[in-house]
Amino acid sequence: MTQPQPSLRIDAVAAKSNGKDGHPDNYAIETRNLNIYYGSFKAIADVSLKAQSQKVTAIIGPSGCGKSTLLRAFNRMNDFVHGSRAEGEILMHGRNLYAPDVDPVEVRRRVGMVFQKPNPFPKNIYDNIAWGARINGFRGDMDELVERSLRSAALWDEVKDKLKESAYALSGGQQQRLCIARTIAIQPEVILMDEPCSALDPIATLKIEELMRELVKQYTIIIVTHNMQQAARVSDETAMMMLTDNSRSGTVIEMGPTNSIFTRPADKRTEDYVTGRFG
Amino acid sequence: MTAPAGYPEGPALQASIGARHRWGAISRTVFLAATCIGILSLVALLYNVLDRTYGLVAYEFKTDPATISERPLEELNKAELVAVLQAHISKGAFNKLENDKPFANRSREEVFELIMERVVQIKVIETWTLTDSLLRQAEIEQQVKDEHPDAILQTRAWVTTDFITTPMSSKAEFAGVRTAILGSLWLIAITIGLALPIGVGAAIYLQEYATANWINRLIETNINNLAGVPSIVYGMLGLALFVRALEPLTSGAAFGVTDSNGRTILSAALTMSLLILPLIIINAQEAIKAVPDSLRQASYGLGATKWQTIWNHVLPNALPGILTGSILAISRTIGETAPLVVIGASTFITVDPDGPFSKFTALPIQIYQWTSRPQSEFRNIAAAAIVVLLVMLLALNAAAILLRNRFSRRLY
Amino acid sequence: MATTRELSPTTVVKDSVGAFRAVDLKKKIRFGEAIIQGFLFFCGALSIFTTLGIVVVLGSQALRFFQRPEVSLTDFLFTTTWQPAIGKIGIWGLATSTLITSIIAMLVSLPLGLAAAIYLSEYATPRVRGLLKPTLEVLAGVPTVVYGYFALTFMTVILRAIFGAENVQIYNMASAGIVMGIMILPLISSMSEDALSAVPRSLREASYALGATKLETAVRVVVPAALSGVAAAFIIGVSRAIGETMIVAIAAGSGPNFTFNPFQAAETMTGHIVRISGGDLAYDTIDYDSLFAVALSLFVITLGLNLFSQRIVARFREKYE
Repeated sequence: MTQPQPSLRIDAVAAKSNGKDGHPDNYAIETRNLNIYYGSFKAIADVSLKAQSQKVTAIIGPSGCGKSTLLRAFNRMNDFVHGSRAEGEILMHGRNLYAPDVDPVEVRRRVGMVFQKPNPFPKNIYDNIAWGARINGFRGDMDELVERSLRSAALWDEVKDKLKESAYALSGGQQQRLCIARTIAIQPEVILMDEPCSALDPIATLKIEELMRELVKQYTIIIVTHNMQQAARVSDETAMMMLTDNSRSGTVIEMGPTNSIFTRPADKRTEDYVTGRFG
Repeated sequence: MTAPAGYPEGPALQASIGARHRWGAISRTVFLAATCIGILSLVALLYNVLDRTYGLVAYEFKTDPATISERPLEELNKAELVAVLQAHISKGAFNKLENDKPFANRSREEVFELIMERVVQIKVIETWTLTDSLLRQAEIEQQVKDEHPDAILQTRAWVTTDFITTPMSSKAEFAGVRTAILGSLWLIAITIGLALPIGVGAAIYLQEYATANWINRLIETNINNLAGVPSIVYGMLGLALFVRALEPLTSGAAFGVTDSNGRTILSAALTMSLLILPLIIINAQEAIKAVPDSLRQASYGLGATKWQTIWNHVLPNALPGILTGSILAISRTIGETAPLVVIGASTFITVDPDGPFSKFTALPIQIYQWTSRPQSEFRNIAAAAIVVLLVMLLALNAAAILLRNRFSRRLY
Repeated sequence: MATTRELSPTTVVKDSVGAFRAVDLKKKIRFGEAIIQGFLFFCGALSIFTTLGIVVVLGSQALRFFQRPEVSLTDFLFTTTWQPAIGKIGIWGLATSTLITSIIAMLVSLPLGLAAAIYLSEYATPRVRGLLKPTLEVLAGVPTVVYGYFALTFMTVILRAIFGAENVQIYNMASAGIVMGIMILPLISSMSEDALSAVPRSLREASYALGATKLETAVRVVVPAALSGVAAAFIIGVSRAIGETMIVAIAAGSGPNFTFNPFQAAETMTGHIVRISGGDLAYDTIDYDSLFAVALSLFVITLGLNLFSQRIVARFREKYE
C-alpha cells in the first residue's frame, strides 16, 4: 500500500486557493459524475455536487433515496459493504479520495462521521475520546485534548467531574455530543452527520443544532436529515435527493442555498417535497 | 484552522500509518494460520488413521499352506476345504466347531479363515504403514529377509467387509468388529428410545407449560449444568445405580433372565440416556422456541387445547430442529467410551448381543482396547475400527442433513 | 351506551341463521390434558433427579471412603501419593496430571481458538467462512477415543522426534495435553466467534470512522467488548479439559505419578477411574470407594467452573446496552 500524499492537509491547500470563490480547492467535498454500485445494483446515479468549506450542507430527500449511501461514500465507509464500488470522483480539496494510492484509513481520519444512533465505546468518557487520538499517534497532552474536545462539543461542564464513568451512563443527547467530541478530537476537516438527531428528544436536538453552528466555524459539516425544518434551520446549502423516475437509483435533483431551495425551488419535485405534498 | 498539535505529520505520519498497516497484514496472516492449524490437525489425524489401514504385513506360518493340499487353497471349494480342515485338526476340535455352528451354515470364506487360523496358524510378525510400504519397500524386504527368513511379505487391507462381519478374536489378524457394531447399534436403539421422548417432553414442558417460577428456573439452570458434567461422572452414577443398586432390574432377573449380572446393554443405555438428555432438551428447546408464536395464536384462536396445539402445530414445525438435535445426540452416543468402560462393557466377547439383558461391547471400547496393546497389528485393526466408526458417524450426519432438509420442505 | 350483559355459564345466543342455541361456556375438566401435563412435568423434573442422583450416589460412596479408618480428609487433600491399596490417598498424585494436561490443552486451544474466531468473525468473507467454519465443527465431532489414538501414534512420535526419545516417554502428559487442546479448539473458537459476532456493528463503524484499521478495531474494540463471552468460552474449555477421559487414558500414562515434567507418564483423575473400573473391581473395596471420591472431586470442580462461567457472562452482559 503506497503512502498517501500530504496534499490532503487543509492548510497546505488553503494557501493555494487564496479563498477564491469557485476555486476547486475551496470545496471541502466535491463529487463529479459519481455512481455507486452494490454489485450490479446502482444505488447512486450521476451525482455532481459541491460542498463548500466551513459551511453546513444539508442533504434532504424521501427515505430510501440513497442519502446515507452518498454520505458514506465521502469517508469510504461503503468499502466495508461486500461488492460495493464507486465510479466517478469524490474530491476533497481537489484530491480524489478514491484514487488507487489513497489510504482509506487516512481518509476516515480526515473525514469524520457521527452516526444516527449514538455509539460510544463501552469505555469511560475519557477513554472514548483518548482512544481515537491514541491510535492515530497522538503524543501531546491527552488531558488537554480531552478537555478541548469536550468543550468544543458543549459537553465539558456536564461531565468534567465524571470523566472516568462509563459513557453509557450519559443520556442519549449527551452520548451523541460525546461522539461528536470523539470525532473532533482527531481533528478532521469535514464532519459527516447521518441523521444525528433522529434518535434524540427535541431539547437534545436543539443543543446539537446550536453546536453545529459553532463547529462550522472550524469544520465543514455535511448533514443528512429527513427533517426539513432542521435542514432549514441549520444549513447554508441544501441538496435535494430523489429516486430517479425509472430506476431505483438516487440522484441529486437540485442544489443551492438553503433559502432558495425552500422558498423558490427550481424543480417541481423539490417543491412538492418541501411543501409536504409527499415524503 | 490551526494545525493539529501532537499528531504526527509528514514523513512521521506516513511512517506511522505504514507501521499500522504492516501490523494489520501480519496479524491477518497469523489469524488465518491459526484457523488453518485446526484444519491441518484434522488432515493429520485422518492421514494417520488411514495410513495404517493398508500396508505390508510379514507373516509366519506354523504349517506351510502349500503342504496341506495338492492344489492351492484358493482354488478349493467349500467341501474340499472342510475336508482339508478335518484332516489336519483333532477330532474333538472339529466336532466342537460343528457344534458351535454346523459347517453347512458356514460360508467358504469362514472355512478358509478357520484353516488359516487353526491349521496354518498364521502369525503376524510386523506391520508397516502405507507410507512406509510405498516409500521404503526395498528396505523392508531386506529387513524381513534378514530377521525373519521364513516369513512372507504381503500387502493387506485391514478394512474389509470381512472385518465388519467377523466377530472378535484375541488374535489381531482374525479379529472383526461385528460384535462391537451390533453392541453399538443395540445401545443406540435403546438409548434413543428412552432419551428422545423424555427429552422432547421436558423441552415441551419448559417452553410451553412452565411459568417463570423458581422451580422451573432451577430446572433450566440444572439442565445447563448437567450438560457440562464430564461423561465419566455419569459412568460412575450408572455403575452405582444401574449396575449395582438396580441389578435385579437391569440384569433381567426380574424378568426371568438367569446367569447375568448388571453389566448389560440396558444399564449402559440407561446411563447414556441420562448423559445425552440435557443435550436433547437444550436442542429441542431451541427448536420449539423458534416456532413462530403466530402459529400458536392461530391454533388457540380456533379453540384448540394446549396439547392439541402442541401436537398438531408446534411439534411438526419444530421437527427438523429436533431431528437434527437427536442425530447430534446419537453421534455423541456412538463415540462415548468412558461411561461404558466404567459400566463394565466387556472387552472380549465373541457372542452377538441378543437383547437388552446381554453382555455387550461397543466400537469405541474395541478401539480403546486395541490401541492399548503394544503390538503393531493391533494398531492396524484399531485404525480399521476407527474408519468404521467415522464412516458410521459420517453416514449419520449426512442422514441428519438430508432428513432435516426433507422435513423442512414438506411443511410448505 | 349499551349495557353489558354478563354471560352466565349457560347462555342463549343467536347463531348465524337466526335461531337460538344454548351455549355452554362452563369450564370443562380435561383429563387427557392434565395427564399429559403431568407427564411432561415429570420429564422436566427428571433432570433434577439426575443431579440429585449424582450428588447422592457420589456423595454416599465417597462418604464411605472417608469414613474408613485409614482415610483422612487432610491426607486426601494435602499429600501427593495415590495408592489406596497401601493406604496412600493423596489426591495430588492424580490431580497434578489433570492440572498439567489441562494447562497444556488451554495453552494450545485458547490462542489458536481466539485467533481463529477473530479471523472468522472480522476478516473472512462469507464464502470463506462458510468453508472454514464447518470444517472446524467436524473437528469437534470426532470421538475422543480417536483423538487418543492420534495422540499415541502420531503426537508422541513427533514429540520424541523433536525432543529426543530419551527425554520423552512413550506415555506422556504433553502429547495428551496438546491433542486435548486440538479437540477443545473448535469449542473455544465457536463460542468466541458467537461472542464477537454479537458485538453490535455500530461499534465497529464508530471505530472505522475514527480512522482505525481492521486490526485495531478487532483487537481494541471488538474483543474487549466481547470479553465476557470469550472468558466464558475459556472457562468451559478448562472444564472440558479437566473432565476429558479417553485421550489421557490412552496417551498420558497408567499409574499415578506426582511430577511436573510434562514429558513423563502420569495418570490423571479421569484416566485412573477408567483404568481401575475397567479391570477386575470388587465392590466395597477401598479401591472401589476411592473411585467415587475422585469422581466427586471431578464433579465439584467442573460444576464450580461451569457456574463461574455463567456468572461471568451475566455480570459482564450489563456492561453494555
